[in-house]
Amino acid sequence: MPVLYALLFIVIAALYLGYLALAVPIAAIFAFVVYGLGMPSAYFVGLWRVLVIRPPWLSSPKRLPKIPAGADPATLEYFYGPALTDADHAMRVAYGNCRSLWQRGAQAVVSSFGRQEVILTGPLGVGGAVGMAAGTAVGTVAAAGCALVHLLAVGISAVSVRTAGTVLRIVDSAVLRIKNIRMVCPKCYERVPYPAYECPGRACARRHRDVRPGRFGIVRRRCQCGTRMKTLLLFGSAQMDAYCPHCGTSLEHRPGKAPEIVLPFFGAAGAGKTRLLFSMVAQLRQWSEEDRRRLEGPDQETSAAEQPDGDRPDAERPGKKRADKKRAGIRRLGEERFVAELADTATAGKLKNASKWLSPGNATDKTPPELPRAYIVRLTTSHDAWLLHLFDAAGEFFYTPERTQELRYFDKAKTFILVIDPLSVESFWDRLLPDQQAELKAVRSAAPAPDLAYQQAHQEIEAMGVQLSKAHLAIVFSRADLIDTPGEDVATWATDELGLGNLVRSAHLNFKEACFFHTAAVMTDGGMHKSVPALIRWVLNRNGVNLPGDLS
Amino acid sequence: MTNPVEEHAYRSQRRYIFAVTLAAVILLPILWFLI
Repeated sequence: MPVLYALLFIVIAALYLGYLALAVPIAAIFAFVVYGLGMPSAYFVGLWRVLVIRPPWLSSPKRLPKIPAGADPATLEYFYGPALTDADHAMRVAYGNCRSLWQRGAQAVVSSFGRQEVILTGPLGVGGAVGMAAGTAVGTVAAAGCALVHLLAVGISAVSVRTAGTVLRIVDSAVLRIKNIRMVCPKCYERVPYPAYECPGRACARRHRDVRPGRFGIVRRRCQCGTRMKTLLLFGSAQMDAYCPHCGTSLEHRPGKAPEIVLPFFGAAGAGKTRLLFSMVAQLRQWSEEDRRRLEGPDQETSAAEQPDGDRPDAERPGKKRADKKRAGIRRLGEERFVAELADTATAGKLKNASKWLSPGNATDKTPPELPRAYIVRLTTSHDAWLLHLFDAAGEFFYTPERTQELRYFDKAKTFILVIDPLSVESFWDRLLPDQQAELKAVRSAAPAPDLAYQQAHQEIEAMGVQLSKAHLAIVFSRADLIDTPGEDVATWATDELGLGNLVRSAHLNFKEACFFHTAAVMTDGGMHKSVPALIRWVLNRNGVNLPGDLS
Repeated sequence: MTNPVEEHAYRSQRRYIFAVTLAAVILLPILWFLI
């Protein structure tokens, strides 16, 4: 019997050892495989939840991207912070998944030793523990590798996106520079590096100060209301409502698409600055209208004055696009066209009836002595467009340095227009016959001598840093309709007859070019005095605008 | 990140990052093995 028991024990021991030899490695291999693959899989489950399905019960991220106070009301571009937040979030979720996986394994190992049949489950626990340890080590390395790949994907994408943004900004700036587009606010006179824009979304009036590619988007940005906005003029941001980023003034003229020409008028009070400005705008509009008639044919004629909605900028008139298309359709090959439009509501409100003020009997209102807002006129030819900013400040601004300094648009100009009333020159006035004096007394400017306004403005323009040696000056003597035309050589007339030799010499000496005009800002028989077109051509030509030759 | 506008805005980029990471994790070992 003892032998039988001994044999039985040996057989059972051998079987158990065989069980041990199989159970421990199998449990170890199983645990190793489960944890070696389970850890990186847990990472991807976390990534799937954070990046793809985002279930409502998902925990909130610990780190949130910081947005500086006062930043634009737009959502951050994904690769400017949120991508790293997601990476951090995914790692935390993955860590939680791995931990719960590990805890389940540890519980299984512990419970394998606490059962009655420990003799059978114990070896599985031992093998499982060994496999778990090895599998966890390998799985952790694999999960770390996955995290590294994820971070690399985020990093490379972020670098690519930021580089693309920088390149686009450089290209856009280069295009603006090549096109010689430098924007100016018509109200605060500050240079506008880039217009601010209002969100085009319905019922959303959020303003974005700087829409260019950056932390809020590369090609487009998304307003906090969800509306997408274009980020560059290259992509058509000019279609949105623009604002000055400095003072918030509406820039209805859609800056950024055409070079801007700043044209300041200066001179003593009552010299005729406003009238001259009106006459120049009226002449430009007349050319535009004539060109339109020429291209559309006589049956399409409708004068600008007859338009019932004259208060609105020309670009907003109903049917204008239709008319433009029609115009383009009938334009003959190689034929040049010319369009002058009042580019914003403020300009349209003031200048819609410019031609009515210019009849010989009418006088323009006195310009109030407040900082002027530019009148903006858009000039378009077949190939180019320009925005003309015409600044008409009251003569009182040119009597004291302090007031002249307020006109900060002077340092944005390359061409200046000085307007002088010859009747305001005492020596000239004294030589007029009593009858002439009696007749002209009503229109004579009572302002101080014209030299004062010139000297004052000249000094302040120079003090503002304008290189006068690169600037052009048009010296315009008004009232050519009331006093005899001095002939071709206006400068000699000004020196000999008006006694303005010092002014003439100073202008020639300091400016790159000074040209003298004698103009009559009056409209007779529906046509402008011939002196005004000559002045316009000279001024625009000095700013790189060559008007079509067939404009008369 | 419960802002619906942000959730909508980031959806495509998140999926792109997930796809790129998954593809890289699968393809890199294969490439390494082949090379």
